[in-house]
Amino acid sequence: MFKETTAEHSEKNIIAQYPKFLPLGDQVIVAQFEKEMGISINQKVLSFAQEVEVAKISGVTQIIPTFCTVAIRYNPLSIAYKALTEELEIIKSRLVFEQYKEHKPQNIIHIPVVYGGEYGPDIEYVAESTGLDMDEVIRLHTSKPYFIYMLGVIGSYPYLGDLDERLALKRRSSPRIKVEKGSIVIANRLTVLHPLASPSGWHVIGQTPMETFDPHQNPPSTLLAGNYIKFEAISAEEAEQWNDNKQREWIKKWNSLKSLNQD
Amino acid sequence: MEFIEIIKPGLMSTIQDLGRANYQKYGISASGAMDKFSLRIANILVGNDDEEAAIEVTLMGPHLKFLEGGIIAITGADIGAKLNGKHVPLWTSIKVEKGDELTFGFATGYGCRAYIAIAGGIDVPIVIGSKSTSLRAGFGGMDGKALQSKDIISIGNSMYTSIGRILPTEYRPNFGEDRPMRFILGPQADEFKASELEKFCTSRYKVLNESDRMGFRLEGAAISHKVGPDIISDYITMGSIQIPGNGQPIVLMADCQMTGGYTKIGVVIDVDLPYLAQKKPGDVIHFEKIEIEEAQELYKKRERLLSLIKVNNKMASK
Repeated sequence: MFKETTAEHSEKNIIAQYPKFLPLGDQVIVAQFEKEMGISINQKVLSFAQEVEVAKISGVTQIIPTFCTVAIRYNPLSIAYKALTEELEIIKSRLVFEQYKEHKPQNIIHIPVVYGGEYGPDIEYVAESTGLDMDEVIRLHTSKPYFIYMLGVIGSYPYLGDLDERLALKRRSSPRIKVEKGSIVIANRLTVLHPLASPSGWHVIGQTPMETFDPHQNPPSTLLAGNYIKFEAISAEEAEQWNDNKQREWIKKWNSLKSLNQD
Repeated sequence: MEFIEIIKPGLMSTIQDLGRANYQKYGISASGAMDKFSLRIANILVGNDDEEAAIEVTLMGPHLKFLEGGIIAITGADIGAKLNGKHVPLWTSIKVEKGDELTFGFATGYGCRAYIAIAGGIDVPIVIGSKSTSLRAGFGGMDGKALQSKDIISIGNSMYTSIGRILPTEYRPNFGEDRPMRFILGPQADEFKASELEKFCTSRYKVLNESDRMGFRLEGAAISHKVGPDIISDYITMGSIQIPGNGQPIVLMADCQMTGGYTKIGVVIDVDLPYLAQKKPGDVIHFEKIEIEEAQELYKKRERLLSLIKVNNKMASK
């Protein structure tokens, strides 16, 4: 019934090989790029997602970029799998993926974070395991803007990278059942903001009082894949006094309107 | 209009429609009814759009009191629904009067989820394109929560008065039938040897207690990977069959996250998801591989049937 698959592709084919189009059930096609985590692959993912969006293929209902795939949801009543794959092949053949060049990040959203203490219970463990002191952990984590690879989980969780390799640690051996809303966590070369309380096996190093996700707004998140986030350390007092007003002032000071709600 | 008061909420009753799958570029969990066929039929029988929200009842149903008269329909599994102590026919629109009480028992037969649709639909805010309750994210439905005692459910307006609208028996899903869960090979199917794929299709799997709206954990023949269970996290959807490190499959269900990092051996086809959704802990299931073309033909056939039922219902209720 099943044939053995083999490594069928020669080196020469690799350029044309990606993205590969694969079904994820009967209503999603996944455009699979090279299985690597990195900004250069993710830039291809985002350009491809953009092109599919622009093509306005009838029957396509949602285009969802992730680290190295684009998931394309469609209605099989409007377009069949084979026909959609053909449309996507045409887009693929037209698209020249430019070599990613390190460019100045556009649309940086600055996010205030209280590091350590009750807000970041794992920061001591992180410092110990990396051989850095706590201030150095904070300095490294706030040292540069992070690229938003994708939004995921349940409520616009941004997956951000790349974390300084000196901070790269494996996930916790026992995941926490709940980390607080606003938690900033790290594992390997990634860092994630939890807009909602949820389970996590990552290391909690801080927490933001800022609301980045509001299901009652359209769009629900101020964050979007392809934008950047930069974390700014604030004191526990500042966080405790945080309110709508403070958030407005912060946005006015740090985040230009252009960088918000742009869709 | 205030329509229902919850006397007892049952094991887990939530408000669900067809969910948020088409709002997922913002990283949103889809949610929505587990058995969307039963939800859609319930709505059609009471003259609503089929994507309207209804109450999803699980395993042990609630006890409700009607604050006004109206038209309702109950579909899905038989959970012993009674109106003022008298059995209520399923897959049928019925009239309820102010003060009537609807009770449920346990799902002792086949299936474990029932849907209560009300003419006029449930009046809760639309959050990210849907009225569905996302329990994990805490939004949608009744403020992101399962129904609680004393909750009051309001409904929208409806001119619909047709009672005794019935879904013919031949169209009702038989949740007790021993039928395979048909699936299409997943994006990581090549992470498994042919012999493991064969094993997956020829084994029977028990639905474990740790199964809920997020996913069904299965127990049976362990499936091993060529290399390992982890992938770079990508998009996941209801019906995706993940094989984690211990080789025991997990089928993701309506409340699953929208991204996940395990190999997906396959995805259950849309028309079979209602049958899967009606399985309860202890039930045994098995899988059968089909091609996507066949899955899409089955999907079209099902949608044609639903259109036909809609048209017939409209004509009959004029």
